[in-house]
Amino acid sequence: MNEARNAILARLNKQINTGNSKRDQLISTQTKALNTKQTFDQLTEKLKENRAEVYRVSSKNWIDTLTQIALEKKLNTWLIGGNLRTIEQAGKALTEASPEISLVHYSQSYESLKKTLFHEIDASVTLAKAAIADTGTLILIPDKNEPRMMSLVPPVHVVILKEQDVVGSFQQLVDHPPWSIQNMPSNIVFISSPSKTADIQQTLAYGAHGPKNLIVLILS
Amino acid sequence: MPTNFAIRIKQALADPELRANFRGAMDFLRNKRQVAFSNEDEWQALKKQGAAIRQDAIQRLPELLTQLEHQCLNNGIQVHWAQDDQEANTIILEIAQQHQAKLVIKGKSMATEEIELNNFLDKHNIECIESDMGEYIVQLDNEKPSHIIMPAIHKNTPQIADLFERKLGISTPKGDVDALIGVGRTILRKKFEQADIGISGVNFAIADTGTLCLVENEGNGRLSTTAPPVHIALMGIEKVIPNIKALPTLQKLLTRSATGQHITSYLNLISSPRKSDELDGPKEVHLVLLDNGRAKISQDQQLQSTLSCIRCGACMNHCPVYTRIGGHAYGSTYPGPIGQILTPQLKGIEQEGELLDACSLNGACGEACPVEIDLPELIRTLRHRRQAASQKQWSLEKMVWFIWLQIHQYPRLYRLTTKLAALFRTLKLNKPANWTKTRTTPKPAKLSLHQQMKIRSKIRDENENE
Repeated sequence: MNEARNAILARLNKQINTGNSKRDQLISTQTKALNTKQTFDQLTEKLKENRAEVYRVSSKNWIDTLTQIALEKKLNTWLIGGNLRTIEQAGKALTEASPEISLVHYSQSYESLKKTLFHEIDASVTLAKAAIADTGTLILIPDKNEPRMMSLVPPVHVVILKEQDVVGSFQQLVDHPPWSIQNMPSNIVFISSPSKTADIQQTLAYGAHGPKNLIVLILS
Repeated sequence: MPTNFAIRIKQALADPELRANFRGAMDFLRNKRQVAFSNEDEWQALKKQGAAIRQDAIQRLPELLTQLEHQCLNNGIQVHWAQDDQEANTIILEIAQQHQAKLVIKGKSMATEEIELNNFLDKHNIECIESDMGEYIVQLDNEKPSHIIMPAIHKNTPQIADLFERKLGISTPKGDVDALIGVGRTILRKKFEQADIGISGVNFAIADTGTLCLVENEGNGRLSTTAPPVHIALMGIEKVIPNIKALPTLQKLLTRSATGQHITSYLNLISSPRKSDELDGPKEVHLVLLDNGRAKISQDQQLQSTLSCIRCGACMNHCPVYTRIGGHAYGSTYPGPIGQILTPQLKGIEQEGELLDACSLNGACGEACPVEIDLPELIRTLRHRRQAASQKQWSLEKMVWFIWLQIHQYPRLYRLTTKLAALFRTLKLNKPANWTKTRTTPKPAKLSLHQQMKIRSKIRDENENE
């Protein structure tokens, strides 16, 4: 194995640089800063364009909105993460809203929860760490409280986003990332729409492998 | 004697359904891209930036790759180096065997196509299932992708419905794409649940944090790299970038050029396997760094920019030849303009040089390239080298150019030739050649240009003298 490594690096080191390096062109592009309202409007517009459902909610009514969504769409089995006060509140409200609604806590390993995850869940609710306005993108950082599969396997995925966590562009996000560069999270996911494909004759179809519905609650 | 390439081209051109499928798809993708880059200033600035990032990375490959390796190891990702397809296949097989793997689920990866991994694992009784919808369709029909971004672009909806009925015994309502995707989803979800190993490609690898970046719409890339207990990522060594600050520009260029999307549904950044307190994600992540001829390309100043490619497919979408003959005719993993320059370099110009003929040097690919690879120039360079390396001392082409040179060197000879051409203009010399089969044969004028000019100036002189 080391043999291959050394051989490849030796070959690469034989490279003679052309001298006409374009390195001086590596200036980061400046994006125009928008005010909060414009940023928010842009985010909403882009998310909707990409077939996400967006609700603007307040700290008072967000739980009502969530339970309403659950009742209207008949989403009965909810997957929720652990140890997060916001999510626990939501879970409690959901079960109180209808006797048909039940919760599955993602508090054991994927292997032991696999069957349930793939076959019994109607919807999940998770928090977003940040969002990018100009592409309508939610940034999720899965961890022990909200594992990776939560935003992937359930057919309906609800995301709660705080308004102050929205930035203008991808470039702005990576200039001040909401994660540690020294100690990178094992997984960071950017989500911009429900799962989709156009692999059959360029015809757009939603719900390819991941969630068929993406619902965003923006908390102001 | 016609070569295999020529035969495949003929077959493709004679298939009206295939041609309609490609025409439709290419028009669709070109329009989408054009809308996404409707701001000309932004497009120019972005591609300049993208080209600079890629060129800089290629020139610093040894440094960036060792940094990537170091960071990945720190993060708990195991790193392997493979000089060629055989080494890469063996590394992957050994990992699979260590885990007694029977079923592999794959995210979309052209690098695994390049090393023909599915075939190799199949021979060792390990089943590989493609999970990208397009790849799944292609695999179901025992075919290879005909496009690097949209693998099943050569098939239309009725053909796919027919395929599902034949191979899976499942019939769907006529023309119902959602139903077809639903079938794929149901079947593949079972596979995600059962798979022992997930294999993916890598769109960009970030050196300073040891992060693998995967860009996709379907979610199959995320599932392939999350559900199975082991994830193996295969990447060409050229795909490394220095840091995450370089990512936004490249992401914009990639997705807009490929499908006209400002961003894909998912952008997945993987930096480590499941941590001890986490509940899901693969317990092992392996990164296989594949050379397979790339390091050699980096040594060649004229051809080095081949490695800047971010595999967006815009060059094939804009290529008039690709649009007409489709991806399969090329017979190579990478079709279209990028395939024409990459394949001869990876596999040898003697074996694959013929691909270079399928180009009219119209320049569309070079204009569409989001990282400013001068594809037409690279095609010319490689054509030149192929000709220079040719064993034949006196090919027909060389002979023709020799005669051409003589005629244009000596004015008398030139005049004589044009006079003769005019004199014998009515002679039908040509047997139907490829060019004249579908076009009118050009006929020399009655008088050569020189003769006509002489007459004109004579008339003018006479007029002035009057």
